Amino acid sequence: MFKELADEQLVELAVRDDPEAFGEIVRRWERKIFALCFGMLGREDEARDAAQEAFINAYRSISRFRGDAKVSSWLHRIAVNQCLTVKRRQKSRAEEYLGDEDEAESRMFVASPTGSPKNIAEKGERLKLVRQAVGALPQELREVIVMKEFEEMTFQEIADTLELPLSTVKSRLYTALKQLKMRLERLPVEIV
Amino acid sequence: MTQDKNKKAECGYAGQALDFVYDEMAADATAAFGGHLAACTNCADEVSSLSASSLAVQEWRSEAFDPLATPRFTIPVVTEKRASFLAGILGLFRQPLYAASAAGLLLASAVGIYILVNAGAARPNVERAAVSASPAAATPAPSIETPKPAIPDDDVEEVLAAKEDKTENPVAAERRARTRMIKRDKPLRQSNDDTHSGTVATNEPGAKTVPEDLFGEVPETRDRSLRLTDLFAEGEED
Repeated sequence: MFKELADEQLVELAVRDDPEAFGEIVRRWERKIFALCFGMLGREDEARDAAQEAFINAYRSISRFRGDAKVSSWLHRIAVNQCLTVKRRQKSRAEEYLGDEDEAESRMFVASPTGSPKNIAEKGERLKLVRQAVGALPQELREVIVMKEFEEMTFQEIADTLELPLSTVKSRLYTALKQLKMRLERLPVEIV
Repeated sequence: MTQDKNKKAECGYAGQALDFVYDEMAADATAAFGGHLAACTNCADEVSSLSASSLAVQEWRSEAFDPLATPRFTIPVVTEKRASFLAGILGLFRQPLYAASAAGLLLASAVGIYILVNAGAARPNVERAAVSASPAAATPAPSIETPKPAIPDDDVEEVLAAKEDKTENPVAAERRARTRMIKRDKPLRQSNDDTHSGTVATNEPGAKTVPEDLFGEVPETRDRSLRLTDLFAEGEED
């Protein structure tokens, strides 16, 4: 019933107290929002919780949704804000996460079943450093590169979602890739 | 450094490396830029640098994120349905925090209602008793002041004699005199005291008076009774 409707129509129905319409919005965007949260936070559990909170916040504030913005922009903005909130909390209790880092990485290493133990270890180390390098980027650069690489959005889609000029999006992405290259060059292992 | 900038400025493809890396160029523009890369080392370096970063992030995504299943997100929906009063009360007990306070509130309400009901029930009973009092069904409420039975003159003399006689117990003498009086079935005399004349005092305000004639009492004219206290007073004067 809802599959033929556009996002904006679904939002209208959800505002009129139709939770099923909002369920359809969640089904459409859950993978992308989850990817965005994963790219922004770097951890599965945190990404899952952040995405869940983002959808809950979206549902709570659906009556305040302005029709002049796209639903995708609105959801992305809520998700990015949620990720920033999580990051702030992480900073405030940074000590707790120091012990968890290695555990999270070890889970990531096991995910690759092929290759020698040495290669697996090197790959794991590389992925860990990439994650840290992405996480160290400024927020406005990080969200652009995550939307590009994790959500595979075009420059124009990113510009629409973030409500930015196309040139600004390209500039930010270029800067993000350059900064990432500089950080990754410090790696002891070969990047590619 | 300045030389590099000049070279980039001279290159007509400056700024297109990003579009090329992400394949967001038109087909003919992509082919033209590909041909230019073979001749322009600056653009080739730029593409290599951007690609390396991009591929590193893509590898991270493909290894860490792509294998993950999309979590099932559940949104708690609050419906505006109005719950019944009983359901609301029961709902309070489902909240562990409110359970104790709700129970206390209910208990206090129950006690309050019990007190109110009892207080309301007691008052009408009094009025009902006062209204329904009729001469036929007169069962006087417990009187506050009950007139003491009068003692005949000869019995008084006997009591006084017993009092003078220190050997006999005055209380026993009085009891004996009263017993004799009952045996003789002599009618009781009524007191001259105004508070006792013709009425029975009750604790009910405005209760109807009951004439003593109903109980076959002696007429007022023969009332010559004495109080024990008067007798004792006389004895002391003597």
